[in-house]
Amino acid sequence: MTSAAWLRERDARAVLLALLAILVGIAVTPSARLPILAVLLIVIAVAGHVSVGPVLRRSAMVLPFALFLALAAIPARGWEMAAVLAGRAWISALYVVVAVESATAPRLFSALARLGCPQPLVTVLQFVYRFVSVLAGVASNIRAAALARGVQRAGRRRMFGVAAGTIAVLFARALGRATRIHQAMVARGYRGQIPSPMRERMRVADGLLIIGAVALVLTIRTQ
Amino acid sequence: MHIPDGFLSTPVWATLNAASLPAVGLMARRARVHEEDSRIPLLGTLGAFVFAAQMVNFPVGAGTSGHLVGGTLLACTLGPASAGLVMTAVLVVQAFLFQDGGVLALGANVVSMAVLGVLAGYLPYQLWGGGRGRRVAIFLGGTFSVLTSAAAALAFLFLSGITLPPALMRLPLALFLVTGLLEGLITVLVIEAIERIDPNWIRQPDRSRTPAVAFLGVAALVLACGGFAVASSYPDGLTRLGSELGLAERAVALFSTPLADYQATFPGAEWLQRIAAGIAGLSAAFLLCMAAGRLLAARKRA
Repeated sequence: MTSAAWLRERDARAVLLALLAILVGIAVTPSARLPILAVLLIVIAVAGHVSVGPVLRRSAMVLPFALFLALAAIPARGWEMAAVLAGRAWISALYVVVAVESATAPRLFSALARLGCPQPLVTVLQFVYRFVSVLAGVASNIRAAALARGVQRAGRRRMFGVAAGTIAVLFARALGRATRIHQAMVARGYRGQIPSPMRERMRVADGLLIIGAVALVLTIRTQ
Repeated sequence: MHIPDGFLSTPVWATLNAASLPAVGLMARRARVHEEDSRIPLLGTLGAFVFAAQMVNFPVGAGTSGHLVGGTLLACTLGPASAGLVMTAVLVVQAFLFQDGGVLALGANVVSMAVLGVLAGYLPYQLWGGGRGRRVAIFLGGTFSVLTSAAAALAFLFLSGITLPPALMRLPLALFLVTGLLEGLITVLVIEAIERIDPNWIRQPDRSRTPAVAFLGVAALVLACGGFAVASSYPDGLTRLGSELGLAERAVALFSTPLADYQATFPGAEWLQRIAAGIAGLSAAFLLCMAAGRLLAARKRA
């Protein structure tokens, strides 16, 4: 078995718990030892055959706000500390992206339920994830239709009203879609819980992943 | 304002994560009790709607645009508990898939946006949303929702030792005020547009609950946050007597607490330290009273 397959076959609960351990490690590790966690991330990404480009692109989404906060912290904490704050935010985001790439979002959400997260929240999460691109497409279509009717030539006040009307229509379509989705789900045997995409079982390797992450963080923290 | 990982100190993120767990549990329980089974997919679809609605930008001026945040709109359509649950799901998806907010900072973001933001957005609607001042109530809800979330996020950063100099502080404060006012305005317009499509989609304020409790809650919060500004600087009678008899000098503090002398011990302005101590004290008193009340009610039932 390749290292990439090994990482992808891990139970999503183990991935989540190992991720949490590493994130806590990033938060509590002295700044001088942060590069160790960055190097470990590179090793995991290479071993897991994770595409570097998308990971960097997605993790960079944390940077605008993190850099703003870091810049604002310069007068009180100095340049060096500000750089450490932004660095911690970015390394944390990189680990989250690699974990989501390895385990996939639906598996991670199912893992949340199996770790004790309330079922209504997990169901809502799964629906949000499933329909965010669908409704984004609907919003895009409504916007294209408004532009085709020359709405961009309207004044700012009118544009405000158009935006409100667009959101109201989007709301109506979301409600209509939710009703149809529920009817289809009931017809397919939905009883209030979405089944997990695959049946997962904690194995020895999953335990080792969690223990390894915790041990690594403790070693870096205490040395 | 989604706080990323790495900016909050360990005691702050750990406390807020611990505080958010029962809050999310309570919201999930209420959503399960109040919503039919068929409404859970609706909640998820409306979570996706919030994402999509945030793509609809409107011009703000100076070449910039704004978008709906959605907490108050969800609270007015679903009720505060379900709206809080949907906002929590949106925050989880944003943290894991869009790197908008941290995973360890999720508790802080849930408390500021899904709990405090939604409650602040719903409170004016609950109090005045049934009468003539309905539009004003929705507008105030939208504005308060953004301002409360932003103030909470700034307070969490201050508690973590990230202080902004006063000159720099004006920029985010002005930005949040403009964003809040726009949120209020767009929420009013969207709710009116939705009501033109189907008035039943907007939930009416719950008239069965007396507003007295909400009024008392708001009054307590205002007093805890701003009471120090009008309070006398003289000591109370007992402290004065103690100092005149020379007892004050002999007093020994057995242990120190982070809220000693009604002032939180974190770097920053004195008024912020006093407000933080006020809110912490108020929350502690509320939680203790609620726990005692529940215990007494459980004994009575038994």
